[in-house]
Amino acid sequence: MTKKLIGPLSIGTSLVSVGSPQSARHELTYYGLSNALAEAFKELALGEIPLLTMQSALHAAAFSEGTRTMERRVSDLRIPPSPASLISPIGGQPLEERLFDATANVKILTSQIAMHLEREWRDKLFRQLDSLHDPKEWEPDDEPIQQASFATFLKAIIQIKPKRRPGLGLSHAGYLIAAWTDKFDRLTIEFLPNDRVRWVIGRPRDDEPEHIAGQTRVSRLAETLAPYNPEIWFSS
Amino acid sequence: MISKGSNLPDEDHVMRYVPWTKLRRDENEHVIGFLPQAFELREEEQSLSLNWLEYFSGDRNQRIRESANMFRGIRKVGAKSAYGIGNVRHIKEVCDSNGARVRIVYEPDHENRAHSGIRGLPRDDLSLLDALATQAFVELVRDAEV
Repeated sequence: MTKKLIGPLSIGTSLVSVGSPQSARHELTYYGLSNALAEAFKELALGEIPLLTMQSALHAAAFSEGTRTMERRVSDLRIPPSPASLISPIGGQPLEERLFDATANVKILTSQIAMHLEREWRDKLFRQLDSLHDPKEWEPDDEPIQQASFATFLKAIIQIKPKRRPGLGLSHAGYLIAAWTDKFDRLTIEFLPNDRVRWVIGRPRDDEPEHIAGQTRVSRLAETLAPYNPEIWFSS
Repeated sequence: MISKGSNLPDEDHVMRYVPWTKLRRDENEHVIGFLPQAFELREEEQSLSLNWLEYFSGDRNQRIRESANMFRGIRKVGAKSAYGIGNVRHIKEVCDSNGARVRIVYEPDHENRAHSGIRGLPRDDLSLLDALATQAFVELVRDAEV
């Protein structure tokens, strides 16, 4: 397949540059999605989206206004159905295109909160996503990254604000996995759709290996991990 | 040679293919182990797929090489992938200490005469998967090094 870089695409105040196969379908996918995102932001700016549900009201008590704003933006980006899914059915799509579409879509999601991520952080994240979707390494029966999982990941990163970046992986179902490792202390978090996370900690305790696992909402992740000294993993 | 459906001998070893996406890495992509999800059953799987190393002849390195060649012949194997190797008895003990009684069974098929599987693994037990990733499959061999 021939791939050619297209110029940076402007979405609101953010720029994102991704390589794109030169097909009409890809351009429709790309611009359709970006238009939907721009609309979401316009409505957000005009206050036309009802933001506070009971659940988000509870979040409001726990997080700063800045964090809540970012979380709302991530949620708003995820809620509208992807125009890509309306334009082209996934079935029968060549593997390289499926992988490309999946990574392009989550990169666009990331670009919408780019102002809250260091440039270096974002660049590394994009490289990790590309690496995870390398067609030469791809398992034929696995699913590429799911947007709903990635939205949960972004919310978690915004809330936890880890100084150390995680290594990334993907589950069979296309859920993003973040792994922090400090010698024998390991934290692994799998980001599920609908703001859910499941996590497992592995560490030696009195010379015995200990494995502690749980599942919670992303909004409670920091609180849930607090008893386990998460600074071991998150501090630089 | 043991028969199909029999338990593998406790003193023997098994080798599992682990793709790039299931390898534990640091932020700079250095491989440092396996993710728990490397040992997670797919929805349609009833047993965790492995190769029985002692099926092959030769010394340990020759068996690992033969097993890797077997994988390469029947499935896609990425250059950045790896294999996890563990002792049968030890794998069962790790599972047992995490509340899962498993069998490691010889399951040859027409493509892979060394094929075996761990039966009885519960689904969605992340603690057990983490134990498998760190205590049971204690040896990691990169495909590029075999």
